[in-house]
Amino acid sequence: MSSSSAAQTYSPLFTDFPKGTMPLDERTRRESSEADPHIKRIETENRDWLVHYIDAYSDSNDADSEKIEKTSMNFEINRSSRQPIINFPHFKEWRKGHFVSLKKWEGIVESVFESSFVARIKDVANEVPDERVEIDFDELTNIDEKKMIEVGAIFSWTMGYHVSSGGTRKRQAILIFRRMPKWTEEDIQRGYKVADEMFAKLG
Amino acid sequence: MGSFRPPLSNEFELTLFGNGYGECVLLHMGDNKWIIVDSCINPWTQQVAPLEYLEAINVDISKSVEMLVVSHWHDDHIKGVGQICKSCENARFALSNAMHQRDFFRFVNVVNERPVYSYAGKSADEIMHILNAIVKRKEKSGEHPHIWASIDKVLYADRISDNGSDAKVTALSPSDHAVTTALIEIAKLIPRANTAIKVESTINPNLFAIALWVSIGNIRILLGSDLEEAAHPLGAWSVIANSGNKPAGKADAFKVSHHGSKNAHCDHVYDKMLTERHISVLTPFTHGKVVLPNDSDIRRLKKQKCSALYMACKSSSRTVKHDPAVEKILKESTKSRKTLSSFGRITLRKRVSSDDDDWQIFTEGHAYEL
Repeated sequence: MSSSSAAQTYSPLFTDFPKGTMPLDERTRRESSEADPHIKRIETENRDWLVHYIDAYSDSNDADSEKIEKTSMNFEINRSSRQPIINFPHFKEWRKGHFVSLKKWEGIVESVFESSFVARIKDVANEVPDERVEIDFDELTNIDEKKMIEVGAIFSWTMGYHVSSGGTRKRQAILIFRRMPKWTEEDIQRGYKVADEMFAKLG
Repeated sequence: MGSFRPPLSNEFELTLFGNGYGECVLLHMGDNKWIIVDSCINPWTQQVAPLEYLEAINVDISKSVEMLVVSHWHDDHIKGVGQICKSCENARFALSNAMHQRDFFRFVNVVNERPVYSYAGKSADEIMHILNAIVKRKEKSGEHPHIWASIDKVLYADRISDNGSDAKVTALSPSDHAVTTALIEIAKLIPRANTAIKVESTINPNLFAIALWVSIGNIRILLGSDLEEAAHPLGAWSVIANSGNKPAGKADAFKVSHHGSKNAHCDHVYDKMLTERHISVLTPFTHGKVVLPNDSDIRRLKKQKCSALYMACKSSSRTVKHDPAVEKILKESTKSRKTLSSFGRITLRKRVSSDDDDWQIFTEGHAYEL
């Protein structure tokens, strides 16, 4: 936690958003305060609240940083007065509520069948061993992604709770396939250059 | 591993690690000199299996590992070789001669330009580590720290100080035919501009794998890697077993080729290269719904003349429990589910130049006798 004197600096405070939890906008935050008790005690009309809260406790042991980190508001804060204090890159999404992530997997498809596929999934946090699972196409968050299911396709599978704007909690899993970029001529030529130099040295 | 002691200076050791997907062989060539063949990860500790084992028995890996053989570049044989390159400063590298071509270097380097692969397709990263390590060491010492392995090439030769026995490792493959095929096939791996990045490739690196013959004093070992019969039009193993140039004698222990699959089986190998009392060891492999060895493979392996048949681990193990909510989601969302946490090792030890000694066999983790 940096000191309040650094008003014009751009020091991010809580960049490590816990396991994908999404911040809320002001209205949803008020409405869902019952769902998240940490929000209630630091509620304010404008979004400077978190900076004030942090600054007030910057030299104190009373600052409950664990609670701040657990709230759904601990996104990156920019202290510059010329910049928005809080960046809301997905404002419309947040208004609908928020998602509390419990486990995030990354998977690679190994076999594809008529209505399901087998994939090896790896815990992104590297806390548990890999698993091999067979998943129905119905589990796709966006069914249009069905055409992306092929051997070698990579997907992200996030599991947790969706908390609605009314505070209702519901288990949810979001399975999204990764759009792979295309190789560019520059990629190829750069690779060739390094490879040819390397080959000359080891040939 | 606890109180497991390191081998004596005149004791040969073969340790096979398996995790249901990867495999690694570790050889003690006497005098505290070690050779690592391929690499895999312990899923529980996320450590590189051979390094973890050597550290546990107090071996100085920076000095005592003399060679790393990368038999081929499949994911299941290569996880962790980058770490081995870094840690084993004294090791020379042996790579398949099929990789010794400009197109292979181009493939690895182009893929390295866009590290979009996450958990898949890491083999190119690992190979890149090896190539970079070789270049760095060559620049530092001026000597080539690597060997391109091909049929009948001696990769390692030494003499045990204790009893003067010769220790030698000879490559039995890839054949000239496989290397020529690689020249055509590997060019197809290089990505083309404006095509989507893909993780899976159609080429089968098993065709270019390095099978090894290890002899030390009166002990002989055959390490089959993943070499399949299809690597040669006449059958890769058939050609090796019937070759007049193959190393003399019959092997006492056999690391079964390609996880005991039918396409790597050759009767000539059992007749001409293995004793009737040899010990067979192997690792399982699962990918999608492919499980090796399958039931018929196991029946076939059990029919062969050998004194014992050991598997390094199970193909899957008990399902790990997660947070209750995650557990419920997994249960509701999946048709079947297995945790890939099986891990085990088989260690075979025997004193060099002692005909009286039997093999000592140790198993740990999920290793078991078939």
